[in-house]
Amino acid sequence: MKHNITLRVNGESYQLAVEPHRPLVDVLRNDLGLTGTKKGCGHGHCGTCTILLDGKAVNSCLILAVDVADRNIVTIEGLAPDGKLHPLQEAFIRHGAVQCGFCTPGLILTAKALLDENPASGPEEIRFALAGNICRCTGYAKVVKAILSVAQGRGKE
Amino acid sequence: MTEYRIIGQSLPKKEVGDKVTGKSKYSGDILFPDMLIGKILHSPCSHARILSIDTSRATALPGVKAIVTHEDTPLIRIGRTVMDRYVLAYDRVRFLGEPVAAVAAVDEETAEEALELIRVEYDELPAVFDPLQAMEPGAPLIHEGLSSYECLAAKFNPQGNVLSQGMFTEGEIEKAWKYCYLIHEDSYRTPPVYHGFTQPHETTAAVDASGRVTIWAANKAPHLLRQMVCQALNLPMSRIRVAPSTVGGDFGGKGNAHTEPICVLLALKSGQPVRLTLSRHEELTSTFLREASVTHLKMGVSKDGDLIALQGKVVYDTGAYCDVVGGPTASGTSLLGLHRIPNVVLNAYQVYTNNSPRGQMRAPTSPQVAFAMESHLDMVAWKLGIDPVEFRLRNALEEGDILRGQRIMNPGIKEALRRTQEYLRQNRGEAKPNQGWGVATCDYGGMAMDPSGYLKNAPLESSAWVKLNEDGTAVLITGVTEQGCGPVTVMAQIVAEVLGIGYEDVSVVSSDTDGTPFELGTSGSRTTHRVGLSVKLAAEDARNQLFEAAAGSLEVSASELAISGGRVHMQGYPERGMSIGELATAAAITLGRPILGIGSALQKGIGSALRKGKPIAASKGEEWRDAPQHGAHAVQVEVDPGTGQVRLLKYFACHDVGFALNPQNVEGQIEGGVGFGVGYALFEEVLIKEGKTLNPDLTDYRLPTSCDLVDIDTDIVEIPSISGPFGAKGVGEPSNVPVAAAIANAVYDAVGVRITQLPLTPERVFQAMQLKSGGNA
Repeated sequence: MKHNITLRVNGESYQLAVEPHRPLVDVLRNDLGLTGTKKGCGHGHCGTCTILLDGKAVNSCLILAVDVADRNIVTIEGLAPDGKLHPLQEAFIRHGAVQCGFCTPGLILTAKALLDENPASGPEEIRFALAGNICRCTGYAKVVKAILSVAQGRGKE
Repeated sequence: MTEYRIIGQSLPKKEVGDKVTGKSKYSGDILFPDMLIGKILHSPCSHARILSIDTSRATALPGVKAIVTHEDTPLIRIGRTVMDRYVLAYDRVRFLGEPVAAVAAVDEETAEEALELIRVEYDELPAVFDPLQAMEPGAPLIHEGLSSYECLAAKFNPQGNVLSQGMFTEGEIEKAWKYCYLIHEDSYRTPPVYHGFTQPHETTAAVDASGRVTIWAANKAPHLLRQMVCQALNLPMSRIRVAPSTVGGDFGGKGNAHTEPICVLLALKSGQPVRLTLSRHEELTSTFLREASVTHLKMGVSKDGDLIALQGKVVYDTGAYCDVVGGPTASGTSLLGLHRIPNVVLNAYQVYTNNSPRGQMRAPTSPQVAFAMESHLDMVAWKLGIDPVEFRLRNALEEGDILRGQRIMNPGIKEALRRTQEYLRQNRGEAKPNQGWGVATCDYGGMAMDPSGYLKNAPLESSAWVKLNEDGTAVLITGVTEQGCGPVTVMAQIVAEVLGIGYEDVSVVSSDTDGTPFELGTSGSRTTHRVGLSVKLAAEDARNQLFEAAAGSLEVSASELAISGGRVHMQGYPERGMSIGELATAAAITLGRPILGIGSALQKGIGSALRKGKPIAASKGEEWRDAPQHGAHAVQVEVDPGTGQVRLLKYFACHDVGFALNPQNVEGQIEGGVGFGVGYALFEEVLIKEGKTLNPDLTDYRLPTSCDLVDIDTDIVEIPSISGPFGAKGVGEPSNVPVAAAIANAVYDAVGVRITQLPLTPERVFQAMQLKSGGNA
């Protein structure tokens, strides 16, 4: 039995009819074609499905789409709307923090949520915030450096 | 030192803009409106005969569009080296989790419901789960017709459940023991572990109106995938295309054809596109994990610390099906690749059991035996009272030493060890309680060459084409697949360097089986070396054709020409020339054909070019081992005496890469390899009891997080290889090899306990500390 809901994603409103049991990650990917959000495990372990829900980083595989109607959702596609990259995206490129890229959208959004709340985060806070995002390629080394460079840049403002 | 414009620079990867914006399409991101969801039915038995399969109730379920069993396949056994399995089980299942049937339905829930409606009758057979037991006479036979199986490996000498075995001897070990001042013996165990890529195995397959199938697969060797799908389903290659998609990490686990043939079967039978994705439960229970191992070592040394004798036995559990036959040979290199040991007896075995199948994973067999060897070397050093780094330096191979009949060329081990010594000098500081330092080294890869410069035993693995556009920009066409380690980027850098154009002027067509030449795959730390060589040769061929085209117009000989700034011109006179674009456009007339550079990794003419740089004379008939990938790591740990938990404090990793074509990428490979190895050392273990996996999800199979790792100090050594492009070697795999031993050695330094089983869980470390202190910790 489908529910009619409005999902607000990246500043756009979408009218959808979705079954209540469907997780947000599936609706974003399959119904809205926003495949930048990944589904690495479906059980909240890997963090590749991370999106921002009213500014907070959450696993979209653990949220029912019907539960977040009318909330503010940001996916990776919403970070550079006019083509101008967010400082975190630029830093990931500059520091070589992207290898296979599957965890990258989740890492960037988690970092954004952290720095929006605590702009001058240090290495320990960064590592702690990223603990829910698995990366198998980088050893996290350049990821932490990239995020730190943005934090240190912001801290000086 | 030659100055290069483009190579040697840490340029951003070609595809990184798409990756940070979420635009990259992975194989699970390909959407079709009528796409079905595929799911596999797995065997609940470890070893059983299949008596019957009844799919009638599942077929009748509304929303089910196709069900496949072995009856939908030609009964052809497939495999990457030994053809030991069917796409869907035929008369037997050999492990708990083996695919028996598959369903395509309108959604995941319907597909799962359909699986439950399929009735399979099994007649259970006795099973064996311990490889040592499986080796004994009278053990249940897992592959009855094994010796009749087709096998591509050079060595195929199966006996019972022993799929392959190898023996290497040197000197006279029985006499040698008498001369040893100290003899140390121990056994080491490593568990099966999982690749842990963030992108699971996800396949999308679609059939067009003419019956041609396009596959988007999480696979780093699309040409081999096509080959195996065609073999499994008895289809001509013209009917299959493996299309490019971004691959989310591989680490050796995305090179086989496991789920892809099943997905294709479902697409063909249903007539609709199908997406088949493995859950993490399925990943951990039914995909090819790293082989578990038991290694027994007996080592003898002189009082001064010269290695005299080494006796080793390694047994690998290859599970019910084998990915690549060759553990015995590879483990020899890992045990013997770094040191002068005059007396050796090494036996290695690859054994079938009724556990889940085992296969390639980042430096196959090396982390297992390196854990054993590097832990063992350390214990011998401790017992002798010699510094572990000095002990290794004393015995390390040097340029020109002969090992296993091959002369070692450009070894980096001593330089890596010296730099490690320097790092320790600067960082060691005062000894604090429960803190310690450990060192370990690694050897990997390398190319067999004969002294004339030809690469030996190297079939045509990689080829590349370089096409020139009418405006002088270039297109590189290569079968290589980008799975994260950066090959597409490095190849573009090579083309730009050779043709004297910008990095941004080179676009790359890669991975598509329709449009690219055969490529063995992004694996084996061979990509920079072999693919890079084919790309360099292709770019040079294009350059030579440009020279040919220009020579006539400029009325000079080709040998007087140079290429730079997007132009071909007289050497020393850049104004006397023509743009690459002009030459490429006019080639139809000047050459009678378009300019197309062609290069292959094994090519005539390399021999004479390399002979000029030959450093030492070699005896006739002797082989060289070029481009060995050596490294040394040092790690500082702290052990919690109350829990046994091991925490990393500092990590140093030094690797000889020959030439760093993109230093930032090389650092990334080293750092990633360390992270990978830390999981092996401290957290990861697929726990299997009587064939059943006890921790088949990512809660209980613990991948390292950002909190488990530290900043990594990397140091790149560049001792050029003979045959690699610009002297390059490789680094993707060796970086994960020494980690477990380095950490185990650091734990010994910290709290005096020697753990010989991976992973070093807090329980294991704590219990060892308890035993040591007589239970009064």
